This record gives sequence, C-alpha cells and structure tokens, in this order.
Amino acid sequence: MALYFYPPSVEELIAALTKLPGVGPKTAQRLAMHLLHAREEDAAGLAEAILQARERVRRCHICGNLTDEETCPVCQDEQRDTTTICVVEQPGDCIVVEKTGQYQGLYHVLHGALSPMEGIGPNDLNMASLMQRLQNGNVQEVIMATNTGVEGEATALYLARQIKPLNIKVSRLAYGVAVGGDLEYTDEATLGRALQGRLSI
Amino acid sequence: MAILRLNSLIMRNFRNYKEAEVSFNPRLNLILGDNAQGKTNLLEAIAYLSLGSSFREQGDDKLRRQGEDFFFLRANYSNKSGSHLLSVGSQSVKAAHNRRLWKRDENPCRKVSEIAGLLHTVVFTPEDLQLVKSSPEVRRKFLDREMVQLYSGYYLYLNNYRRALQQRNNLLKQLDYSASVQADEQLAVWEEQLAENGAVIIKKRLDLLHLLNEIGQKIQAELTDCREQLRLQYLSVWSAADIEKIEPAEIAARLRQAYVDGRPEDKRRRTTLLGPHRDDFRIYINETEGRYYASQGQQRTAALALKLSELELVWQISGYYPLLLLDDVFSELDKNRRRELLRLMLGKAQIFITATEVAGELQSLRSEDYQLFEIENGCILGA
Ligand SMILES: [Zn+2]
Repeated sequence: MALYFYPPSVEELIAALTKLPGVGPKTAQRLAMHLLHAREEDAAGLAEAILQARERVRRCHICGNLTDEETCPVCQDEQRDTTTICVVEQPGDCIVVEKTGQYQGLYHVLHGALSPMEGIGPNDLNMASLMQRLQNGNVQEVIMATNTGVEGEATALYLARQIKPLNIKVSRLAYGVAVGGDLEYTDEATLGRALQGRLSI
Repeated sequence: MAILRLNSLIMRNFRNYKEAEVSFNPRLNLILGDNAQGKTNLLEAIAYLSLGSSFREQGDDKLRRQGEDFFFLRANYSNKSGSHLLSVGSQSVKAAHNRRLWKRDENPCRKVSEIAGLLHTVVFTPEDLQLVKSSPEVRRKFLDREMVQLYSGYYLYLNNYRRALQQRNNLLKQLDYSASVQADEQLAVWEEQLAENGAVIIKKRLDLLHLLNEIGQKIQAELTDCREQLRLQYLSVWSAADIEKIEPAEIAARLRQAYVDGRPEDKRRRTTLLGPHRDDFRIYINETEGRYYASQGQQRTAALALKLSELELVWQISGYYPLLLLDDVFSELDKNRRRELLRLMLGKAQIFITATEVAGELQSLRSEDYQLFEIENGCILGA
C-alpha cells in the first residue's frame, strides 16, 4: 500500500517554516495549511512584507537598532535626553522599555550577549560603537538592561568594566522577581519599577 | 501531624507506559516485576514531578515512549492544605529541544523552581548505597537533589552556575594566548557569575550538611547500638576549619580569588578545575575516613543513616516526611537494616519499593498496610 504524503511543494513550505525559531513540525504544518487556505492577496502580502522588510531594514548607524532610515527615530528625536543610554540585547527590548513610559533617554542595541558556547565574544557584538559614543563626554549614565540570565549579567559586567575608566555612571536594572528572565518577558509594571530603582555597578 | 501523600498518578507516553493510572496506598507500595518491565520507570515518573528532571539524569527525549512526541504526568497528592494536582507535559519541538509545561493545581508555572519539592521525594538507589566510597559526584548529587526540593531558589543558582561554568570552559578552549589581557577580562566576567552563584550553593550545602551531621549522629548510633559514630565534613576549594562560620559574601570573595589563582592551570587544562562543581564531603566513621577504612557493612550502614537523616531533616524543616522511593535497594540491605528502615519510616513516610519478589519482613505486614503492584511490560496490575 502506498502511503499518502503532502505534495512536494507543500513539504517544501513546511520545511521552510520549520526553520523559524520556536516552530516545530506540527506548528509548521498548521501554518502551512493556514497559508494555503488564505486568500491569494493575503499570502502574497505576507511574502511581499517579508521581502520589503528585509530590503529596507538596516541598523541605525548610531545605536544599532533596526530602522528603515539611516538614523533611527529615537536617535533623530531632539526631545530625548542625550545624557543617558540604555543598553539592550535585542531591538525588541527597546520596545519593551519604551512601553513603560518611564524612559526618555537613548538606546544602544548589542544584538546579542556574550556566549563563548555559541562563539560570541565582545567583537561579535555591537560594543565598539558604544564605546565610541561615550567618548564625547556628553553621556552621564549608561543603564544596563541586558537579560538577567548569566549571559546577560556577564555582558553587563564586561561593559561596565570597559566603561569604568571613562568616569561615567553605570547602572543595572534592579529587577523585582524576574531573576533569570528575558527582558522581553518582564511585564511593564515590573520594568517601570526597575527603571526607577536601578543600582550602580 | 502534617503529611504528604501521593494519592494517584497518571502517566502518558512516559518510558514504556502508554497510558496508566495508579492509585497508591498511603503507607507502603510494593512494585514487583521482572527486570526491564518498568518498575524503576514508575519511580522515575514520581521523582520527575518532584525534581523537575529525571533522577537517572536523562533528557526528556529519553523519557518519551518510543515514536511519540510528548509525555504527560499528573499527580494527585495531599499535604496539610488539602488535595492538590501537579502535572507536566513535555512536547518535542525539534531535535533535542522540548517545550515543557508545568501546572500546579491547573495553573501554569513558568519556572521549575516553582514546583520543585512540592511533591518532596527522597530517592534511594543501589548507587546511593555506595555513597561512602563512590566518587564525589554521587555525594554532590545527594546534597543537590535534596537542596533543590528544600529551597526553591537553589535550582536557579545551580542552573546559573552550570551555565556560567559551561561558558567559562568554552572560553578556555577557544583562548588565544597572544591576547592574554583580553582573555583575562573575559574570564573574569564568567568567574563573577560562578562566584556569586557558587557562594550560595556552597552556603546552602554547608547548612544542609550541618543539620545532617546532627541528625546523622543520632541515627547512626541507633542503627549500630552506639557502636559507630558518624561525622561529615564539607570539602571545598580551601580546606579551612572555619568554613561553616563564613558568610556568603566571604565565600564569594574566596571563590573569586580561587578562580583567579586557578587561571594558569585552567588555561593549560582548558577547563575549570576548582569550585563547587568539584566539592565533596568526607564521611568519618569513628573518626576515621569511611571510604578508606570502614568495612563494606559499615559503609552501607552509614549510607542508610544518611538517607534516613535526609528524611528526618525534611520533617524537621518542613513538618512532613517526604515520599521515600526505594529503587531495587531494599533487597540489597540485610535483614537488620531492612527491619530498622521499616521500623523508623513505616507509617511516617509514604514508601515505594521496587523489587523482583516480596522479601522476608514484608511478608509479615498486615494486608491493609500495603498495596502490591505487578508490572509487566509497561502494564500495571493491581492498580
Ligand atoms: Zn538609533
């Protein structure tokens, strides 16, 4: 008896979806079925959105955050407090901090954390441009908002030690209960409190 | 008296169980069957719910029934606040990547530390019987397994420590000796994580050992008619007598220094040679070191005394006796030690024994005092 499988084109779609983070074979199948049943223009719209985002998006030449322009809206905004820089691991983390409504300073996105296991050292992160931003004497405080796992802690400590000779205040978010957590999963109220109660390191 | 009782357990796709539901006796459960039928798997399921992992130290991939992509366990247990549910589902997402969902009374829990120790267990295996003479790793496991359940934060410190250790070891393997200043800067930030988390681990182990020492002396005396004295001593990076008196901040400072001092040798060997991941404790019997000078009988009695002390300790701290899981170990004990174990624990701790047959003293138990289960190829008879 011949077993029934999906046609090769569908199998290919499923295989492509399985490569996405957090998507296993079952979810990939469900997504594929959804996409195949979606209206033609919706499916085309998704494909187009992916291509557009990939084509337009780039890293802000100042802070490293993702942007459609040369400089991101935050770095362009003259209302922001340019004496404070909040250092985060991922672009999404900026959005989390923004949502608290408690922060008016600038950002710096590292695009990861130190992790020798994954071959990520200081030179693989967006650290050199941060050190450059700190040279002009304008910045008075750097807030480390990296994740609270050992990698995030090690990264914050590494940067703090690099910054120390510059005589700039370095502080760490004083998380309430979310020890060992990702910034992304910390709720806004906790993070808001953390921003107010940051500790000097 | 506060109690802890496992009333029933549901297993789906766990090891060789496809679907099983078991109700347990509140006092003693005898799980019989030939080898490789699933006796230990049943104990492993119970312990998984209390430790958040397998006591056989295997990943979820190994725990799933062959060909299935998930397993599910649910315990119905009673403690002083009434009857509760504890469940875990583990779903395979990708190769070696599993998504686990813990639920406490049907409410999802985000971290294992929220559930560890709710269904407190003490597992006793033939390996534990070798506790006195086996490798330091077995003794560390003995302390850590108990600590994870007694103190909900311990899991996190242990995990952070392991993670930081892996990172430092990986860094040591990648080091380029031409850039040694930069290398030290990078090593230092991992050492800081090791020292911060390691200090708590050492402090907690010291506290635990201190209590075990007190209780163990009494139990050892009871088991040996006062002929044998038991004493335990923690061994760490530094072998100072004042180790029990020092505070975590001081332990962290000493650890930090030990990692710095250890760098040259660590770089040569490309691994972290010192720290709580290498610590141990010495077991003295009548003031001589048990692993070298005690007879096999003495070593086994000391191992039994330590396990019984662990049970008493939980009772002293938490106000109830944990579940006692005896995996193929009861028949390994001689008649006197079996009798002592039952005399001390029966009616206090709920006991689960796996064996190939009903051994001597169990035959004299009253039928309402125990429940017999026969396991055959992943099926439970008598449930
Ligand atoms: Zn920018």
